[in-house]
Parts: sequence; C-alpha cells; structure tokens
Amino acid sequence: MLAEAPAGWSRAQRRLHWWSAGLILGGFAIAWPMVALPLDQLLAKFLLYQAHKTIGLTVLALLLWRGALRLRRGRPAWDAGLPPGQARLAGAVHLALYALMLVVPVLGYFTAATAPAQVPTLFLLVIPVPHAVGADPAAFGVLRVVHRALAILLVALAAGHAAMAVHHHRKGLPILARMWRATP
Amino acid sequence: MRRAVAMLGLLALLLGGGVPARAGETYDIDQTYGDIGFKVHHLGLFSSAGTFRRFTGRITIDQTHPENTRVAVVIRTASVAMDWENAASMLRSAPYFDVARYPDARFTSTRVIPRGPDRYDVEGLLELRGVTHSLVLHAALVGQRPSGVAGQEIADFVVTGRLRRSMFGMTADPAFISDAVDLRIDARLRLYVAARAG
Ligand code: HEM
Ligand code: HEM
Repeated sequence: MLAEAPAGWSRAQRRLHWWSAGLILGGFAIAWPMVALPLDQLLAKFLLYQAHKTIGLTVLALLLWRGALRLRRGRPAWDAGLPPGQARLAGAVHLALYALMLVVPVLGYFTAATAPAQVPTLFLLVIPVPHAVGADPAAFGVLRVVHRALAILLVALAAGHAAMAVHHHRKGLPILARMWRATP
Repeated sequence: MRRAVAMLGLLALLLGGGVPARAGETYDIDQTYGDIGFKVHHLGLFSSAGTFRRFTGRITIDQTHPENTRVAVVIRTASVAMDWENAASMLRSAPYFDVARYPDARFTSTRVIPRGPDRYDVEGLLELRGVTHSLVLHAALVGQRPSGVAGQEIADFVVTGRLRRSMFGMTADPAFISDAVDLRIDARLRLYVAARAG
C-alpha cells in the first residue's frame, strides 16, 4: 500500500500550492512598479524591493518544503478522465513550474546581490540575508534580464496551467476540486 | 616637531595633495590621491556612500604659527560619484547638489585648533548650494613614514565631520535619506622634512 499513489493531495500540499501561487503572482505584480518608480520616491521603491525579495525568498522556502513532501509522498494518480497525452503534457508543465520556482528566485537573489546599488536584502524588512557575491554590473546586466524573462515564462506557464485546470473543471473532471479541498 | 608636521599635513588633508608642501608658502594643489567621501543613512537599516572625484585646494602654511594655517578647498559638485550611476545623477539634479546652478562647493578654514597629539579641529565655512554655514572638521594624522625620497615624508590624514544637509536647502526625501551626512576625507601629503633635522 505504501508504494501506491495517495488518494489525493495532502492538506499541506494543497496549502503550499495555493500559497505559492498567490505569492508568485503578488511578487510578479509588484516587480513592475518597483523597477519603474523614479528615484524621487526612494522610500516606496525601497519598500517594494524588500517586499518583492521577501516574497520571492518565501516562494523558494515553500518550494523546498513542497519538493520534500512531493518526493516523500508523491502525487495522486492522474484523473481517469484525462487523456494520456494531456496527462503527459501536464506532467511536463508541472516539472517546468517546479524548476522555474527554483530558478527564478535564485536568479533574483543573484540579481539583487550583483546590483550596482548595494541595497541589502532584508527578509521581512528586518532579517538581513547575506549576499554571497558583491556588485558586478556586467553580471547584473545579464541576470536581471534572465530573471525577468524566466519570471514571465513562469507566470505564462502558470496561466496556461490554470486555464487547463479551469477548463477541466468545467468539463466536470474533479481535478481542481481535489487540489482545492480534501479528497474524501 | 611632529606636531608641526602634522599641522602642515592638515592642510594637505583636505587636498589630498600629491605636491610636496613647504612652510611659509602657498600651494595650489590638484587632487591626486585624496578622496572626499560622504555617507548617508537609510531608515537606520543601511547606508550609502559616495565621493567627489574633482576638487582643488589652496594651502597657506605659516611655519612659525601653524595655527595660522589656511585651507581652502573647492569641490566640483558635478564630479559626485556613487557606485550606482543613477544615484549620482540624482545627486546632480536640482533637489540635491543642483550642479547646473551651483557647480562648486567651497570649504574655507577660519581656525585650526590642536586637540591632542596628531589631532586638530579645523573650523571653517562651507558653501553649498549657495548657502554658507560653519562646519568643524576633525583631522587626525594616522600615519607618517619616509617616502623613499630623501628629505620627503608621506603623511596620511583622515578628516571627519558631519553636516545637516537641510541647512543647505537640500531637503529632498527626508523619509529615506538621513538629514545627517557623514564626511570622511582621506588625504596623503608629501612633506619636505629637511628643516626637521633637529
Ligand atoms: C517567484 C519569485 C519571483 C518572481 C516571479 C520575480 C519576478 C520579477 C520580475 C518580473 C522582475 C522584472 C521587473 C522589471 O524589470 O520591471 C523582477 C525584478 C527583480 N527581482 Fe524578482 N522575482 C522573484 C523573486 C526574486 C527574489 C527572490 C529576489 C531577490 C532576493 C528578486 C530580486 C529582484 C530584483 C533585485 C529585481 C530588479 C532588477 C532590476 O533592477 O532590473 N526577485 N523580478
Ligand atoms: C504561479 C502559479 C502556479 C504554480 C507555480 C503552480 C504549480 C503547480 C504544480 C508544480 C503542480 C503539480 C503538483 C505536483 O505534481 O506535485 C500543480 C498542480 C495543480 N495546479 Fe497549480 N500552480 C499555479 C497556479 C494554479 C492555479 C491558478 C490553478 C487553478 C486555477 C492551479 C490548479 C492546479 C491543479 C488543479 C493542480 C493539480 C493537478 C492534478 O491533480 O493533477 N494551479 N500546480
């Protein structure tokens, strides 16, 4: 029985899924005004950066937690109503989402660390997160572009993923429902 | 004598002069080594620092009355530099140094007061953004050694001070940028020490 797939998503898995989704969308949304704000609004800019970095690091922590749960507990079997081709596609998208949830925050961390404006990273505005590397304008120029591009890819993939979830839900498959509440 | 040498260096401190100074003369000194640095604080959480790349100084040394030493420094405000160029260009803009209207800032000493071994207070007037206020700088001789050239010595000075930028009309962004600005000037002076033989 232990080798069998669980009947449904555990409560922790469901909570972590929705918390991660919410934080990613929130962090993505504030990234744009944060970068666009002019320097005569430094306080607001600073607070948005700290919020963005705090959110992103939280996503990273939640990912590690989720990843550990997933490796230990696994996932429920694909819904029987899902054509095998779509299940394979969904599996690939889930893997890509996991990878991006790891890579985007890590790149964000190095973007912050190499930025020519040496602003510290303060988790929740109070806990200093050491920067492993120092200012490096050339690296920063590359990192910020890759961080942004992969963040856009992450959110675009998640949007497609969510659209499919809603699509299947409307077709009556209990896929969204079992991610939303406990499987009886 | 060490004190007199320190006093000579004092002048240099503000100038970071690479030109040897000799008593009883006036020197126009271009900055070669020195560094005029400043630092502001943000929310008590961290700070940022910058420097001025271009400044010139004139020193008048009176060897018999070192306390009559005069220091005058002119700083090119447009030469302000920070690690982040966007921040430096912000500092050049009207709410900060307003370099288009005030291309120079000036410090002119009025009095030099010995405060202990190798320590001096330099009282003077700072003109910034067209506003003049008194400012006291604290100078310390932190190192003195032969330069390798006969009759010359290298003296290193650290000069510190603190001003309130609002007094000079620089009131922008008080929520994020502290009113207090810490100054730190590192200077190196090449002194002729032939007269020191005694
Ligand atoms: C899920 C996590 C994250 C997402 C979705 C995300 C998204 C983004 C996006 C879209 C931008 C570009 C904004 C623009 O160019 O206008 C950005 C910029 C930035 N992010 Fe993130 N980010 C995440 C995590 C992090 C983390 C963990 C850090 C640092 C600890 C971070 C630091 C930065 C920095 C410093 C910039 C600004 C780069 C610049 O000034 O151009 N990000 N982020
Ligand atoms: C940034 C946003 C999101 C990310 C990064 C994300 C990521 C993921 C990942 C990695 C999985 C696979 C879980 C595993 O195999 O361990 C998953 C499953 C799932 N996600 Fe999302 N998701 C996001 C948003 C959404 C949204 C908005 C919805 C619904 C509208 C949604 C619905 C689902 C459902 C229903 C499953 C379960 C699929 C199944 O049981 O086979 N997700 N999500």
